[in-house]
Amino acid sequence: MIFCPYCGGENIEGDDDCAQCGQPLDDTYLTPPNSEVERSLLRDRISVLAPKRPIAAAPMTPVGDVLRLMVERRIGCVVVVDGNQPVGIFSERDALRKINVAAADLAARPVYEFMTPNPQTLVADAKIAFAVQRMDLGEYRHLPIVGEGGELVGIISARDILRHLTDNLARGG
Amino acid sequence: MDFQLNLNTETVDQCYPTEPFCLAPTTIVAEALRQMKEHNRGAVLVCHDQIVIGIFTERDALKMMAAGATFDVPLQQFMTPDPIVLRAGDRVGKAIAMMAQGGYRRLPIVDDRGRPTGIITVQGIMHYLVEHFPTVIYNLPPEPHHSIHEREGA
Repeated sequence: MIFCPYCGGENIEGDDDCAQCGQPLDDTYLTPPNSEVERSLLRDRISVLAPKRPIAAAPMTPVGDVLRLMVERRIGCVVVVDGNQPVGIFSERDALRKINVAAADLAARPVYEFMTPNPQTLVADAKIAFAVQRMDLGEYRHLPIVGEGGELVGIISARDILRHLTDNLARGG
Repeated sequence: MDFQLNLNTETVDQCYPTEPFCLAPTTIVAEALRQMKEHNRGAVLVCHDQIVIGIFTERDALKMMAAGATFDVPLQQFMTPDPIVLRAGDRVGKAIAMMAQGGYRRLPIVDDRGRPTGIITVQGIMHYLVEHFPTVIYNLPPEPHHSIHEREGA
């Protein structure tokens, strides 16, 4: 059994490509993980973060209702779903950039006018390292988690990842 | 092990602090919101005599928007007074622990007289992680939705 240098997946000795992520297995230039945190980033899947149930809203929901929902539920973003498929995210930053002092005038307008469309999503069996990479590239604080049919099943935050890392360090890093 | 060592030795200025963005406590919220939007900042430090006395974040703004509050009021009325701060010599591990446990998304860094020198954000911490684990994080396949092909006969 050999482990994929990219995703950590188990492979049969002699295979050329990883059965999990399709990357070549003969990348000897990659240094193996040298700390518990590195191993954890490569090994642990998003599911270990126990993604929370996301708060979702339909595209036509008045943005004023969404703002109140975010305050009442103490959340930083709402996933906008069409049926069960995520079509956008409306975050505090969207509120600041697009609503701002016009909150009273815009309250009745639908949330889809103000959301960030086509959100980056991840599947629950993606590695935590993926989530870190995506959050860093897109400067996202939240990533919706989707099932095999693209349906919304959860959400993770940057804070969830930091907490996971500190837990790992506490276990003796 | 190396990483833990880093967290306990490297200081918070390694976490890509942003420039402090300060306004006076008497600044009207509407003006603060305009400036936050213009500069794409999620928070302002409320400073009096160059000392941080409060923080006003997009979360505070959201609450006002949701409540239909008037924005024609001074920042000091809606800021969070005496925010948790970091010192320039504080370690990265401390910042991460404070964010993970306290739920703070940004932490001002102040000098020994309480004057702000920067703000550490959760994004800065994520970038720090990426920089410390380049082989682990950068070399990932670009598409996380990789299809898992079944092994024949297995």
